[in-house]
Amino acid sequence: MSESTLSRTAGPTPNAGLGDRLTRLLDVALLLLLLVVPWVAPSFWTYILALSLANAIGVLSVSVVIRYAGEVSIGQNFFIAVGAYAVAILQARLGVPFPVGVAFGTLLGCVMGLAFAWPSRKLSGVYLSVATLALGLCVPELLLHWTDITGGFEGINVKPNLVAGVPGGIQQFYVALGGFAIVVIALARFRHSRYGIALLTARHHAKAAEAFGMPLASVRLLVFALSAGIAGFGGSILAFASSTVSPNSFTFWSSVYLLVGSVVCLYSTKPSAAFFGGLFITLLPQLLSDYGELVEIIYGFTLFVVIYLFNIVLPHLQAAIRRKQARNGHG
Amino acid sequence: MDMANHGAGLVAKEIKLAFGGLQVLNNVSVSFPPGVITGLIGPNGAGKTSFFNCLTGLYRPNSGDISLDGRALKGVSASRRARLGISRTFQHVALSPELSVAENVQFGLHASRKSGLADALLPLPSAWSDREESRHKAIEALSLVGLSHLADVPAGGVAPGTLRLVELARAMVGRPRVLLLDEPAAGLNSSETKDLVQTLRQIASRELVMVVVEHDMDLIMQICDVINVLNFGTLIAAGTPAEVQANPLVAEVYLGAADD
Amino acid sequence: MLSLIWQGAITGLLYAIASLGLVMVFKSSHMVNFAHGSMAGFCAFIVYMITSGLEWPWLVGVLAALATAVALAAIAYFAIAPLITKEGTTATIATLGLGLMLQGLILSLFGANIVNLDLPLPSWSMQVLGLRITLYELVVLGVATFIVVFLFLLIDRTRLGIAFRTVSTHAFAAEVCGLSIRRVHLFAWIASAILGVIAAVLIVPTTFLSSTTVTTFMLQAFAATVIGGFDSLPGSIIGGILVGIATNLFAFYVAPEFMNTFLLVFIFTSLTIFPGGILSRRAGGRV
Repeated sequence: MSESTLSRTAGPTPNAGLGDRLTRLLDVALLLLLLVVPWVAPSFWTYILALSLANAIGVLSVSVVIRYAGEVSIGQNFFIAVGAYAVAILQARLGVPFPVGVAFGTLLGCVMGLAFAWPSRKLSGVYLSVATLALGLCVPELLLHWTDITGGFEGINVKPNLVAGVPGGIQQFYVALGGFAIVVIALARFRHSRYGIALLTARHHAKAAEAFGMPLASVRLLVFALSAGIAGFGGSILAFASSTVSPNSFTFWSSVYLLVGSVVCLYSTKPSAAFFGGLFITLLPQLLSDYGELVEIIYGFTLFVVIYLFNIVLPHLQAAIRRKQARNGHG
Repeated sequence: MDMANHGAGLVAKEIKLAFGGLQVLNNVSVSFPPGVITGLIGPNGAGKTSFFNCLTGLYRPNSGDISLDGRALKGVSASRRARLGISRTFQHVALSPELSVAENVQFGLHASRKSGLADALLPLPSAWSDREESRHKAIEALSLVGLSHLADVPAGGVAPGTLRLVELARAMVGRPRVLLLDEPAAGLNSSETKDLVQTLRQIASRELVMVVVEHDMDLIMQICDVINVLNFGTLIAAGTPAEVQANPLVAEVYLGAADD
Repeated sequence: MLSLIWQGAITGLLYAIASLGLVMVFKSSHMVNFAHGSMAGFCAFIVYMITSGLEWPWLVGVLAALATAVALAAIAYFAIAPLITKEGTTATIATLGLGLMLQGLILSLFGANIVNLDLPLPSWSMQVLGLRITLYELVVLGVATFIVVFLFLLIDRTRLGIAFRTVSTHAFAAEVCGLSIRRVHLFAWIASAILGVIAAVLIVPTTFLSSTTVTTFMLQAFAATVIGGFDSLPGSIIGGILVGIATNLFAFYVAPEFMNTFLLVFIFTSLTIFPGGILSRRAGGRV
């Protein structure tokens, strides 16, 4: 059985090398284009793109769970809120500089991720998904309770004061771009690391992974630590880029939106794809700001269309083409 | 390692395993000494793969003891057993189609690699040498099965028969103490099988415990020094290939059936 | 204290009914339906629209809601069906897409207002051993008992029920035997949606109805399912009652505003104490 899945899923495309080179070219072009944005684009667009980059980090944190563990998380808003509020609270209440806040937010996210995944580390992914639902839903009530620290409904303002004398918008943009680049590079390294290899084996053959030293519990804990760390980091960047944190930005639904972002970029951890995912979920609500309820319908619909396209339509087409080639080969 | 330390190899004593009411293994006692290629045969459903799963720690037997060189393995997880040098291949190819062939083989080194999480994410120099070394070892193992030219091809694009050899390379790359092969020749054509026999002879050594489950009788008779026969979870015969072939009981339940 | 437990158990029965729906879908299709709450919420709004908006009788509202539930379940199932065989989480993710669409639909059709939806029951109550029992509670108890007995008879005695049990334990064998897996799936999805609606319509009178309440109420149902085990129908009844009592006690003695956090901790605790559900037996053999 596994043999047939193995040969079915891949099918080496003759121009795989070309495709790789093309995406790399796209990534570089995107980076160069983004580098000049604050100098050529209106400040509104600079702001939107900064938010997109920060959201793209959140999207990556969702994609990591799906790609490396084959599980769904809809509680990422928790870890993102941890990172965002870490930066905001440290800056506003204790005057701690932003880089320290980021480091703290990322670490705290990691620890929370481990603690969260621990109870269900040996169980079927279903239990994990349901736990992420509870995790996602409990964020607002926690933020609204300790108003002295969190600022309640209003939230806290985050000052872009990393480099004195540089306009806030430019700081926010480059911090978001830098943060995104760090995550993307780290994930590219991770893919070929000892753990990347182990996780991708475990995803397809859990028993084989276990027999070579990577049991399910390790897979879960590692992936959630990584994903929550990225989410915490992304939250920190988001707080800086949007200059404010408030409970409304971290509801359960924002996790579902991140999942939509991850689906539209096909769970990819490649830079241009992840950026597109972030852009999609940042731009759409802006464009449709007068028709709030439409956003959810469009998100849901897009999610369906993309899943159908890549799980049903394309495989059918590929099979049809292969049949045709086979017929021509015989004829 | 000197001769005295080659130890007892892998020893299973009175293994019993049941799923619900189904008795899969019934008092199976076998020892697999180092330097000997042991065959494990029996009709489908005789419990061979379940026995392998008990040896590697994927299943927990209801009773009985397994030890490696005198060290009891009771309560030792599959992952820890991997670290002790127990390695295996699977009846159904269990590689990741997303990884390249070389990366799949590198996974065989997972338990012995030291690089940590920081190395996985950050560009540290220590990580580079670890990655280089593991890739080098993987390609070495691949050349042993004659596949080093496929190193960078995604495993999903490789023919199923070839993937069996990739799995063999993955099982060998960490220089294991115990090598358990679950139907290594299934899906191979005759010339590939001939190559496999040669490779297995090449890797057999005085230190290595090698166990082969196989339906291809020619292969088993050619390479095994000792053969054990399982039927309905019970060990019914053991001995040299010639002895087993001459055993009327075996001929009745297994060889006879295969000749039809 | 006793009355808190009693009330909690009654609400818990409703969580149990919703949880039975989740388990039916999981047992047949091996996936989680995250749109379960949105589907039930949508139908609850249908009841509200008909009884309060059009001022038609309750029975019409309930029948319309049930019809909507059946239709939604059928649409949802046929949309999801081709994805069930796909790798891992695809189908589960698709249900989130479905939930999003329904959520948006509720917002655009019924708005974001909070509304009241009361059952047409006289406020009657009696005292039993110092416990005040209301008519509402008796109705819930009656409906829940009826549903549980009906469902278990259905699964235990009818051909469809036998097919359902076969599919849930041996999907492959069922296919070989010529059982129509699709029909069994469809049965499970429709039954699940109906269970969801009944639970939603009965729970809404105790709180209020808004675009988000039913979705969050489903968290209680999910928690019940985790405690009961995703593959155990009896487990979800026990789980529902436990969650109902625990949340009621928590809301009274500790802090009602931390309900979701409490449920998270509750889920964690239950995963640690009863991995795989309260009724699961630790099987020897496979590790």
